[in-house]
Amino acid sequence: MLRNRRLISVVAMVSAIVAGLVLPSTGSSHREAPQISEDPVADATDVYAFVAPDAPDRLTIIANYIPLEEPAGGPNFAKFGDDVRYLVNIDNNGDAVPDVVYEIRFTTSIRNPNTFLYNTGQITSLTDPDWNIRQTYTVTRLAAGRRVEVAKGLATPPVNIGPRSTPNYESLAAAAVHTIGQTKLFAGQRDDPFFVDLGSIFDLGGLRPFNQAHVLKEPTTPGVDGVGGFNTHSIAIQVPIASLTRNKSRPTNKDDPAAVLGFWTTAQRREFKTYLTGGRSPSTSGRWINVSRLGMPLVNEVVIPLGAKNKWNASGPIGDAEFLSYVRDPELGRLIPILYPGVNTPPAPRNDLIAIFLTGISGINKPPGVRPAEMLRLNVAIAPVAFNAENRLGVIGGDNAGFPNGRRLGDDVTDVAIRAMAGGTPLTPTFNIAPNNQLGDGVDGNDLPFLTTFPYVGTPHQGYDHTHHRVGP
Amino acid sequence: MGARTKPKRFAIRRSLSRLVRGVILGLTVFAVTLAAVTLMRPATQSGATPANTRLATRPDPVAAMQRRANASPRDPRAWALLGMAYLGKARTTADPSWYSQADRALQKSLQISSTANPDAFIGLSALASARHSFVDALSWAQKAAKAGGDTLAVNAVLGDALVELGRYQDAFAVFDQMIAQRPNLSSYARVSYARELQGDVQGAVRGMELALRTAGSDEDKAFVASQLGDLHWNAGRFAPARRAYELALQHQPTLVAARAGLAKVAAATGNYDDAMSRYEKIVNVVPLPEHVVSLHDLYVKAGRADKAEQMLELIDVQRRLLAAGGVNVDVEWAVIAADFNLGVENAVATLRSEWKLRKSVAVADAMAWALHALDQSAEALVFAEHAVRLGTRQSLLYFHKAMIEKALGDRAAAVQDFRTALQINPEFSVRWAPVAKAALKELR
Repeated sequence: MLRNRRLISVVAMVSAIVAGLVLPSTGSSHREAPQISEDPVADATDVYAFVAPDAPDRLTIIANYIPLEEPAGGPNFAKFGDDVRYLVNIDNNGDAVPDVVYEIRFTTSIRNPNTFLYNTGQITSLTDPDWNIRQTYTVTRLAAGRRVEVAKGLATPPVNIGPRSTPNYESLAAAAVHTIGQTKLFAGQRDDPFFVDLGSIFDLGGLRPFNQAHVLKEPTTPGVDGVGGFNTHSIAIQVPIASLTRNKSRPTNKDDPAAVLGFWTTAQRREFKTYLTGGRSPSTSGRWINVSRLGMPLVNEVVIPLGAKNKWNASGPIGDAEFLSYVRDPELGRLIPILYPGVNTPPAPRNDLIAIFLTGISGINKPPGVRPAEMLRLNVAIAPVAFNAENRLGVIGGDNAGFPNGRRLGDDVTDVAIRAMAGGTPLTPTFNIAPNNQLGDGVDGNDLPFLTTFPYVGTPHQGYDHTHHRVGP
Repeated sequence: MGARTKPKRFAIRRSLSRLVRGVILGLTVFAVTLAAVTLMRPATQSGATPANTRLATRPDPVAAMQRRANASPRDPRAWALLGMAYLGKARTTADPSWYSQADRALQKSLQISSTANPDAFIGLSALASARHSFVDALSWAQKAAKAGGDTLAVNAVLGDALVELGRYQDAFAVFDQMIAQRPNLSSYARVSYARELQGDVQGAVRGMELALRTAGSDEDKAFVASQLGDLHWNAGRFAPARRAYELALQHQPTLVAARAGLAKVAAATGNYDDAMSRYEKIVNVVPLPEHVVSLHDLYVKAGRADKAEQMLELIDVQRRLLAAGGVNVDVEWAVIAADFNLGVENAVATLRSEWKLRKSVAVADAMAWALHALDQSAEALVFAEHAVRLGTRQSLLYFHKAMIEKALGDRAAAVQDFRTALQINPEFSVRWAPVAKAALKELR
């Protein structure tokens, strides 16, 4: 009996090995770390820059990180990266070199190291002892070769967990809006303000309302917001316009050479090298290396080819001439007539796209002597419109206070970019016809309302109760 | 997660001799039944914290890639990415049967496009490395570079091949290029390994912590946390090791490397019964040789000679089956062969040809230990010195060297190296740490 049992277990184990086909690597030697890996906390999703109607002398910049952040993210809820240097860059003279930079660094503190829990009771204030894992941040302004600390030890709000852990979430978030002199700051979890039909667009450029015009037909249906029900982490900064312009004024004439500002964000991590030098343990404080950059929406996603993405992300706007050909003759522009037979697009060179994505549009947001570079360009002298009067199509919808003149939360950059690719804009009159100038993904707005005061980005979905993939406009 | 196909597990049998095949066919029926029973047990192990809800909701990368490949069956990139996804599965499940799935997908990609197909070349390089065919891995990586593959991914597979071929300066230069281009999990984890090889344990830990903080998916987080646990364990720091393994299991409750890590911690802290039951559970599902050896040592320690002998038989049968299956006997196998005096001559012969291909720390150590088992200690010492040439802080490297020096009668050198082995990790092996301690007493 004993003998049998022993035989059986040996046999079973041997068989499992045979089934395994090869001698497994034992882990004592090589590592098999993944070749490709994602870095969500340093992955910029969207940048917004606008003059808000409730603060017409201020400029608001919002930089979002962590793509498709799941609200039910416990037990390790999302937060900013302590090892990441987040930079908001502002070019005030069109030379593609940052003139003012805001640097944001985060520090996580754990109140009780004996629990892995985010909170051990209700979080009712930003100093609540039941809140275990919290993050604070420091903001530094770099301009004219000087570093000035704007503020340090600023609290971020907790994430929105649910009715038990984070009741009265709005008041917690409001307490995390910091006013330092004329500057307002906020950093923390928010609803992802972006809206787009990811599921259809990345299925061979599908646009559900135009499903019958596609070469592979599907029934026509409303769009589905692929980002609906997901959160993000926002850094929001509001400062006087005059603190950013080249002549320290607040331009009121749209033709003022100081009126156009350029914006982009970079996230950086430290280099960490292999060599031991001079018998000492090598420094862990290597150079800061760009791991993501973002200004104009969708350039990285749909214009830069896969093979060039790493290079793109590591580069800065100053070197964008290198990528000019991708914008001048974008693959997508040539793909549209194939996917949508009968829809013709302008031939290369696409100077219309260069204006929209790289230089700014003459008479609206093109600074004098501009160096072509991918960034969000905003003419701050163009007066904002009331929130309820915004046209989601911005400039092509006759609303010059919106995209691509800067970017507001509600601007439908997907529809604008698709129409621009198809030539359906006033910049290419021959192609500014139906259906080129009507294309769109059928998702026309965000799943949650925006706030009417700073930080404007909507309250995050709670983990306890949220739904994804809201259907319809 | 409906579309996941179980890997087919039958390819190897074709190459086995008829006799062995007959035996195995009979055994497999039983094994499948047993595996099914084992798999149906709840996956939560003690030490794992409550289930992470995201595990249930996250899309399975394999399923996504399968859909993509099925939708575009003429797209070589789709098949290459599917192959890579299978490789990821092999890494996280420790189930090498995913390798053949990966192989098929990558070959399919290669059939569609055999020249300008860097994605397939990168995948084939990673697959070759996983199977310890590092020469092939290097040539696929070089092909991928020529074909203009994504520089980060090319450098990752290129560096992996070079480091295991013992071309450390070249490998480290590649890792430094990676980190300068993009500091992320892939590059931090590799630099950490370079630091570890050079004996900079603190730097290696720092690198792996940096990697952990960039990780996005639960699988990546679990993988890195488990590596971090190994770094701590190797340095004799059992409390941080346990924390790291527990973190890994929080993200992926089934990760074998982390479950084995907790068994290692239990053994090193004197909780032998706990260690034994943890290893038994692992060996029942994935009988990796290193775990079978650890379990053997624990049975010996507990005076359960019968069970220990059973493990020895298991190891010996493994060896013969693998040889019959034409699988290259590996460097790790040679160390086991020397540990248990099982066909050491053959192991040394294999190692000598391996050494011509790759003069790595691991091959040198295996060579030293195997030659010592054959009483060829003078030659063994040359290899033992080679094994510590980078200053790697691994107790076993110094223990093997000390045993060789003791056999050669070099008392002072042996004392020093036994001390070093025990300083690095006083409980580096259930079987060998007491041997080192006794030898030190005897020699002093």
